[in-house]
Amino acid sequence: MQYGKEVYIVEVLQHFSFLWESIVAFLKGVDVNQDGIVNPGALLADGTVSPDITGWKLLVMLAVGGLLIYLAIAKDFEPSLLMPMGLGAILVNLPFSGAIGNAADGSQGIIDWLFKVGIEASEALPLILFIGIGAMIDFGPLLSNPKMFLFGGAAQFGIFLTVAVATLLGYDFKDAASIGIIGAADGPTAILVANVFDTPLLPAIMVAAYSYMALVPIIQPLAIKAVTTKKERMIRMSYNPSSVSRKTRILFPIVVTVIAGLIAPKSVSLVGMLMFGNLLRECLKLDNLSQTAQTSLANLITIVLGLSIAASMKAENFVKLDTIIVMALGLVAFVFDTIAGVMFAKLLNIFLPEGKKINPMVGGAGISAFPMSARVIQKMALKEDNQNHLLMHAVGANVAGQIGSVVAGGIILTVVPKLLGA
Amino acid sequence: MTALQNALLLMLLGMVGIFAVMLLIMVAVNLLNKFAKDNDNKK
Repeated sequence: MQYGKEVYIVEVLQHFSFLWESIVAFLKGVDVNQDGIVNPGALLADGTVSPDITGWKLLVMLAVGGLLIYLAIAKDFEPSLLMPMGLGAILVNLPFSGAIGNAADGSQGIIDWLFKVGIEASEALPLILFIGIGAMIDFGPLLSNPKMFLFGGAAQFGIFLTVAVATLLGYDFKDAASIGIIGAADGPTAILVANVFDTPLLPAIMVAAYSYMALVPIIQPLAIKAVTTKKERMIRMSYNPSSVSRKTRILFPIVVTVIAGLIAPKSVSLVGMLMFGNLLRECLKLDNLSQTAQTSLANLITIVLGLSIAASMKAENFVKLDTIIVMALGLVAFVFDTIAGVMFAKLLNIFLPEGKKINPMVGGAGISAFPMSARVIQKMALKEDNQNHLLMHAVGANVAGQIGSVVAGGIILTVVPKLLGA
Repeated sequence: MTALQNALLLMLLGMVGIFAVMLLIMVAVNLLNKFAKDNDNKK
C-alpha cells in the first residue's frame, strides 16, 4: 500500500504520542494501579485530576531523586546507597516507566522484580549484605575492652523511645516499631524489620535510615554537646589493650550467635549473617572468601540494594505527610540513641573511681553507624584536648553498637508479634 | 492493651533483652580472654 506523505507523518507522530501522554501525566494527573503501572487511560473523562496521584507528585519525586544524587556525589553522603536510590527514584517515577509494574506480556519491571525477589520475598539482599559487613569488622578493640559492650546496648534506647512517640502520634504498633528501628542506625536492619512488618512507610524509613547515617557527623556533636560539659568531654581514658587470642576471635562470632539466638530467636538471621561474615574473616583459612565478602559481595549487593529500595519510592507511597513525620521521628531516634549512650556513661562514672572514669562521648559511639560515629567522637575529643585520643575506645563502643542494633532488631521482631497476640 | 502500653512494654522488654544479651556476651568474652589462649608457638 502506498502511503501518502501526510499519512506517514501522522503515523510517525502517533508513535511519539507517549510524549504528549507523559506531558499530560505531569500536568494534569495520572492513575496508578496496584502494580504501580502508570495508566494515562484512567484519567477522568471530564479532564479532572485523578484522585490517586497528580503530576506534581511525580515532579517532587524526580526532585528527590536529584537531591539524593546531589547529596551522594557533591556532599559525599553515603554515596554507595544514596546514588542508586536517587537514580532509582527517578526511574520509577517517570510516567509509563518500563522499570516498574507488570507488562502486558507478563514480564516485570526490573526494579519491581529486584524488590520483590531480593527484599519482599526473602529479605535476602539486606541479610547477605550483613555477611560483607561482618567480614569488614575487626572486633579486636571490643574484645580487648569488653565493657564497651554495654554502650552498644544503652545506645539503642532511642529506638524504643521513638516507638512510644510514634504510637502517641497514632501510628499502628507495627508501623511505630518499624519507624523506631531507624534508630538502629543500620540500614539493612531497618529494611528487614520494616519489610517483615509489611509497613507502607517502608520507603520513608529506608531513606531516613540511610540519610541520617550520613548525617551522623552533624547530628551527634549537637546531641552530645547538649548533654555534656566541656570538663566531661575532656576526660582522658588510657588505652592498654590486652592481646586477643585467635581462639577468642574465632569463638566470639559463634558465642554471640548462640546467645543472641537463645534470647531473641528472630535475631538469628541478622546476627547469624553478621557473625558468619566475621568468622570468614577470623578463621584465617578462607581469606579468599573473606576478601570477596568484604569487597565484591558487599559492593554487588549494595548496588542492587540501592536500586531495589527505589521500587518503594513511587510518588504515591512517598509524597505524603507521613514521610515528613517519619523523617522527624528518625531524627528523634538518632538523637536519643546518642543521648542514652552518653547518659549511660555518665551513670557509670558515678560508680567509677577517679582515673578510671569514662569520657561520656564514648557512650554516644554505641550506635551502629560504623565507623563514622567513632571518628566523630575522636574528632570531638581532639577538638577539646589535642592530646586526648579516644578512637580505639569509640571503635569498641561502635562495633558493640553494630551487634546491639541487630539484637534490637531481632528483639523487636520477636516481641512485637507476641504483644499483638499474633 | 493500648498501643502506648504495648510500646512502653516493648521499651522495657527491649532494653532488658539487649542488656541481657550484651552482659552475657561480655561475660563470655571475659571468659574467652581468660581461658581461650593460643598455643605459644602460634599466633
